[in-house]
Amino acid sequence: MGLSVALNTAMRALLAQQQAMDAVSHNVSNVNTPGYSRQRVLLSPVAAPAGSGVGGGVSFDGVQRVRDMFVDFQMRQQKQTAGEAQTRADSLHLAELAFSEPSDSGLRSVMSQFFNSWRDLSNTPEDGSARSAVVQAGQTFAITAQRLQQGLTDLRDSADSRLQDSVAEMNNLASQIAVLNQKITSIRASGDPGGDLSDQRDLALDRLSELANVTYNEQTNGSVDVVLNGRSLVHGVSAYAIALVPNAANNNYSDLTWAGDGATVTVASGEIGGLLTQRDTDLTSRLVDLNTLVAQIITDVNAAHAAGYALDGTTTGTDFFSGTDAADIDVDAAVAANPGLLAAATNASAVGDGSNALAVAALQTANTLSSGSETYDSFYGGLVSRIGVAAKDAQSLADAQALTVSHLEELRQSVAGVNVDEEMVNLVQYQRGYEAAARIIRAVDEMLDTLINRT
Amino acid sequence: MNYRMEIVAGADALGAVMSSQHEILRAMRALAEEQQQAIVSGDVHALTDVVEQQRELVEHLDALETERMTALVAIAAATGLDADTASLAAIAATLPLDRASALTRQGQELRDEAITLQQLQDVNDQLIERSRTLVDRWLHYLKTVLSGSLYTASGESGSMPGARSLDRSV
Repeated sequence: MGLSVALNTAMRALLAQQQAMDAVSHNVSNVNTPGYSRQRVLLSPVAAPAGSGVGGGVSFDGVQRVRDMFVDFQMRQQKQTAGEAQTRADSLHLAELAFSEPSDSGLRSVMSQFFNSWRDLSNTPEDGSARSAVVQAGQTFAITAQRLQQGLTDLRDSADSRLQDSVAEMNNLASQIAVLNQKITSIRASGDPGGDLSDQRDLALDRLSELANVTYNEQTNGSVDVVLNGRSLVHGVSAYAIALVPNAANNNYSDLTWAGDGATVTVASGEIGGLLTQRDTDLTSRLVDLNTLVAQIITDVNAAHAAGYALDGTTTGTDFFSGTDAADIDVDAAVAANPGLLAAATNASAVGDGSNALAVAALQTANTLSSGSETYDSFYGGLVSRIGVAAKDAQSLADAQALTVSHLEELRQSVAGVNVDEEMVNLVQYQRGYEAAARIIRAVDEMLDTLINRT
Repeated sequence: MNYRMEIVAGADALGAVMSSQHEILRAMRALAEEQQQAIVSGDVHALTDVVEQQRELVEHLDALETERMTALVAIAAATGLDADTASLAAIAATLPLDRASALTRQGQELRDEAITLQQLQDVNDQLIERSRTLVDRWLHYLKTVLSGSLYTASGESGSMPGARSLDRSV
């Protein structure tokens, strides 16, 4: 092989190396870009010219994204569960805080004070301050129940509001993926693998997987189809939007429907799934329980109260509470204005009779809930306990999922990440290698000069 | 030993040294070809191995050059030629014809081998220079532009964990 051929072959190979170095530059420049996958240059050996005895060097075959599809799949699956678990854990934790048990301001304590005030009244039924204390305790109970009900409703409102944001984000991500599909298929058709665009799309898919139980499939032309609950969310360059329709039967909260035909969208997991579960199941069941308790207390107290007689010895049949459940419970306006209307006596014109007040107080320990198997206190205790257990379980699951996602993220980085420090070490190693090689070439050249000139 | 026999013995010794030198040059040519492959494929480990082997051969060649000079001095003493300037042609002129042509042919072959090796060396030298320039440029880039992302004052690295981005696999 002549000198010029050898040089050309080698120079071509070096150009391929330069392209590899350019890939390094691109990788290093994007070291802090979220979702960036390192890229590598594909080189292949070139066959040596016949009889030359020297290899033909290497040629540039293109740039490839370094990415592990299996890790991506695992990551997205785990993120769906993580998103749902964390959303539920956050919500249940807030619900737990709303109940603020055990504490003096919690419903349990207030409820106990209310019945105790009746017990006190039974001892001194003519005592105006004891009567005022019952009214006051009743009002405190009503306000606490209302506040709790409002707190849980606010959490539902908040879940609905977040749901609207998340659905808007999902629609936005679906549109982004459709646009990126179009760009990627175009650019791939021209021979460019479109690594950076694929990274952007993968980032969108990551987030989409956190939001809902989507599945995806990459087509041979490079576009990705995304399916939500059996229907296409993204198909090629088209994105199919999800609309939010207020449901009058559900507090005017939004139902998810396909914008195209109005069909119902079911989202089972991910953040959106978690928000739906929170809004329509977790919080709703707590509200139902709270309302069941408060409604039962209203009914029982009113029934007992109506059977007794007021301080005047003649007034009977009055309710103590107004309202039907935790949303509107209050002390009856007339009773609140005139504590003398409290029916402490069982019999008419029975001065000093506090037996009806004792009957009301006795409701505290009566098994009137859950088909006659639970007292108010045990029913409420169960409600609080269920929230605590559910919150703890949800947080444990969220923590476990976060750990799994974190491990997968590390695994993904080990495959696709860029390490500048290691790059420096590699380059220094190359630098030293080339310097040593250059020195030995000079030493050999000097000896060859002598040899050639003296033979 | 008479005058002609001394010259012939000296020429034989010179021929033996040149034959050994030829062997070394052939081995060096094979290494230079390996070196070229290592450079163009960016295989710094292979390049380092080659350099180590080259270093050993250079030492060997250096020792043989000393032996060649010794043989030349012996011939010069027998023929009256100046050992520092005596060319192979001048020595051959003092030998019997068959010995002279063998020595001349051997010298030519050694020279041809040395020239071939020198050409390969020139190519490798240029390739190394190009590669060094490229690496120096990237080292400079990493040291300056990204200095903030390497180590903080407290010794923490701001870079992300994971695999190296310079993937030279072929």
